[in-house]
Amino acid sequence: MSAIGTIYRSHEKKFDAVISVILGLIIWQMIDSLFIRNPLVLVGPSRVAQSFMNLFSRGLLARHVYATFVEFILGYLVGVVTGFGLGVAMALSRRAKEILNPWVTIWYNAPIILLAPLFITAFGLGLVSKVVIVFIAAVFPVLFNTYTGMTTVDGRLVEAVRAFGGTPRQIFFKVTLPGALPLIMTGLRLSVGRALVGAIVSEFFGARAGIGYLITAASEAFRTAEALVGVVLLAIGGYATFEVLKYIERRIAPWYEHRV
Amino acid sequence: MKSVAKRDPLIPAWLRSSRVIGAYSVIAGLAIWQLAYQGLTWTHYFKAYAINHFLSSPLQVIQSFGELYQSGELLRHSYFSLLEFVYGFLLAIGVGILVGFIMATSKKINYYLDPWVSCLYATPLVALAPVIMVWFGLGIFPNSLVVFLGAVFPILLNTYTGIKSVRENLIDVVRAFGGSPSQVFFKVMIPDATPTIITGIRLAVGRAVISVVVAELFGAEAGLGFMVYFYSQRFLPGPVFVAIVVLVVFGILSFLALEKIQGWLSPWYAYRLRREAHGMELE
Repeated sequence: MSAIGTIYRSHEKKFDAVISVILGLIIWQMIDSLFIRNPLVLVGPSRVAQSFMNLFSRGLLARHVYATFVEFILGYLVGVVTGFGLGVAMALSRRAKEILNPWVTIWYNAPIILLAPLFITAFGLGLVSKVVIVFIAAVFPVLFNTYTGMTTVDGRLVEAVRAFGGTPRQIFFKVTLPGALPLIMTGLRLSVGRALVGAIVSEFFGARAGIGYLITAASEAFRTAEALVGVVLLAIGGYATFEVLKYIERRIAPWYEHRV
Repeated sequence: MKSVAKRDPLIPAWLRSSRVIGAYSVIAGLAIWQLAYQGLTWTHYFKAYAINHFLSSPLQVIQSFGELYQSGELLRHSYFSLLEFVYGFLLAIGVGILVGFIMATSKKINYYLDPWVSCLYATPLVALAPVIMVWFGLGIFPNSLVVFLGAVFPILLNTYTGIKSVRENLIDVVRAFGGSPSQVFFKVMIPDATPTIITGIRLAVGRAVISVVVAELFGAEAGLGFMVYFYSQRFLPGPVFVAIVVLVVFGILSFLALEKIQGWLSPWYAYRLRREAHGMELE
């Protein structure tokens, strides 16, 4: 008994997390099967798992995940590269900063998702409209964080390199860029969330496949279990990418203090 | 070195300040938009691709703003969206701060809630909007619930971080001079955590605005999101842009207002705030 107690105490956090998740699922299942027995209103984890297996075995799940993934990855990559480029330009040139700053502020604060219906009417139901929306959603966190990171690099380091005869190029590659790296990584991580929302919402408006499409199509037909399968997939996907990027962040910039 | 002698600059200094250049940039951008639209109307692509069905020009947007304002439609939609926003957002602030505080002070509760919070935070919760419509129907309450879900987690996590990172030595000092637990709470923990909490609230504003819109797309009889959907389905881009402009202005104004409030509540933090105001999203 005491041996179990010691193991529990040494990994208390992990054990508690597992217990909490299991407890939550049990309570959810009990509410479903004991109190609200209407599958239109509430579906328990068992029913969600069932419909997950059903969708999976019919190959539908792979199709939807693939569609969303392609939209996400194309828009995200283009967005990250553009955001990084513009951020560097804004940090290096005062003129570029002055010209771009008001636009960036407006676009960053705008609920860009609203443009989704317009993009769908302009570019059609296919891939292009979604990639554009994901791109716009993903570009600004990277841009802002690249800019902030490069402008808040410790001035003394730059001066030291310059004093020892470093060229502007060396300053950029050896000081400014590495110094900005942790913040750029944070920007990449924040962009993932926004890009995912962009992909899902653009699929809400009009699509032929994708997780967002799965959710709307299922909930419009009152197949709540299928819709929840989509939501659970998003939760797992979002959490996994978040953690992976956090891990990379820690590997790339271990000296950087993490806030959470 | 081209010339050593200093010339009087052609443009006076106040016209070269970054704010004025920003204004030029916006005006130039709008002008380019207008001119590009005009140019497009003369090409045969305009008719062939029915471009006026999904692209509008600034002048047209101003015109449809006037029309929608006079007919009272814009105010009605804005009112509904504002109600949903306020209900959902206030609930998110209340619950977020409370739960964040509890999680920061009780280790056990933190361990139990942490997996759920970090998982839900990483999930794009707007995806729940259709499901919530199925559960709760149409109207202001379910939409506010979507806003609540969108806004609560940044506030919760920032409250947690804020309370957790209260400087221990401050608490020790107050305790050493005989401060009671309530004094520690009100005089140290709350003031020290306030800036972080408000940063969380500021982050939540953007998410809440998006949630309002997305919720209204699925089920609503009024609201700015409903307006966007309604008019984009009728291929009338003018009103769509009007709604977007209203929401952008609202988003920016509330962002600035919260920045001001943060400055009042915790002036010692204003310097750090100004550095972070430009986009560095705290988690």
